[in-house]
Amino acid sequence: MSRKTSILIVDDDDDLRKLLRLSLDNGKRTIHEVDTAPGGLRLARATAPDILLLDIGLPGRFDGFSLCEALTREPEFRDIKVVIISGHDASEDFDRAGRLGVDAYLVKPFSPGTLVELVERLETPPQEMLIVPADRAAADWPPQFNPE
Amino acid sequence: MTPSKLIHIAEFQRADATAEDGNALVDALFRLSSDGLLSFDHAGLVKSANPAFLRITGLAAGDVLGQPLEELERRLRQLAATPESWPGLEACFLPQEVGAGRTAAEGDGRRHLLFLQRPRRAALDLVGVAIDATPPSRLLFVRDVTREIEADRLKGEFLARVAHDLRAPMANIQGYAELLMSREFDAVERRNLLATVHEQTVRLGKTIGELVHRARTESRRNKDFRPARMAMAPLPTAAVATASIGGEQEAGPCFTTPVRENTT
Repeated sequence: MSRKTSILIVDDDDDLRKLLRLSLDNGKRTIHEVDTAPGGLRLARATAPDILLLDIGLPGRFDGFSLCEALTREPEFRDIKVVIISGHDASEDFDRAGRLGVDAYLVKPFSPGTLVELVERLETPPQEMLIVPADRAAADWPPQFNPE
Repeated sequence: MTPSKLIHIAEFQRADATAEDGNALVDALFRLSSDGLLSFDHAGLVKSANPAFLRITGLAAGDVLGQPLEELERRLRQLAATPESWPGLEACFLPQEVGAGRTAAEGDGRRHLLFLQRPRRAALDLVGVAIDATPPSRLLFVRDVTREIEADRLKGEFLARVAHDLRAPMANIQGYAELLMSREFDAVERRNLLATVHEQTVRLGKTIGELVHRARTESRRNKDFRPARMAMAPLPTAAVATASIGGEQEAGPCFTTPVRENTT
């Protein structure tokens, strides 16, 4: 029997947390949730999640990015997959998330189906290295701008 | 002296008078302009600096007049908030072919902003133009755009916040509606989910209502307000009473309201 995926949801919106839980709970996942960044750090240490679904704007002094930074400093979270779910879509937010090694950035509103697909992709073990055939690579590189 | 020569001298005198009038007008504009203006002579030395330039930069006339471009740049760089990222004065001058036929405000479409740390935090827009004269000279226009930049920043922040506040309830409405359409739930859970959709729709409506109210108030420039005399003391007291600090329990700011009861 394969191990259940452990998911930690950190969001201060009760309704959104419930929506994420309902969307993802298929009996093969363990889902934990909390509404603050310090609470998220404590729960992450206690549950060692595989996937973290994280809001940026959290109450208190520490936001979602702070939690993400704290996790990157702890070696046991080296393999955790982080998905930011936020209504903020400024390029600075994307850049900051990218620098922190976030795996996906989901901008609200989103379809639960999209979330499920994303989590399924993150649950899948890394694929073998993709090899692009030489003729294909030569044909596609350098990329050409085609106005049609 | 022949009559024709007399006419010739009179024309010169009229031309001199016109030139003097023009110089006086330029001098007045130079002194009164709220934008900083610097002129350079044919050797590239600062020939004149108007009072606005000295006020904006906090430099003294003696620091500027007679100095080459490089020295002026060095002094401005000392005042800059991020000296390393400022490309310098030469970059602010429009190429001759671009400068011709364009106003300084139009520039070349690019902004050459200098952010000052001293004498106060300010954003300056610098545009330099070459003057096609004999001997040739150059002018540097310095516009204080601090308020404009700050207004843009605040507008951006406001729009980002509005987008966030609209997206939060929209995410719940879309998500719960899709779940209800794609899955079977028992009657109680179905009613709970529908109640959440309803609650989030009301939340979204409130946010939109507040936005419309704010936009209307701004467009009517407070014409809907009716000034009235009222006691001041209850206002800060009520504001402090409703203020709450969310999140973790921590030592927060302390509010006091030292307003006399009879203050109006």
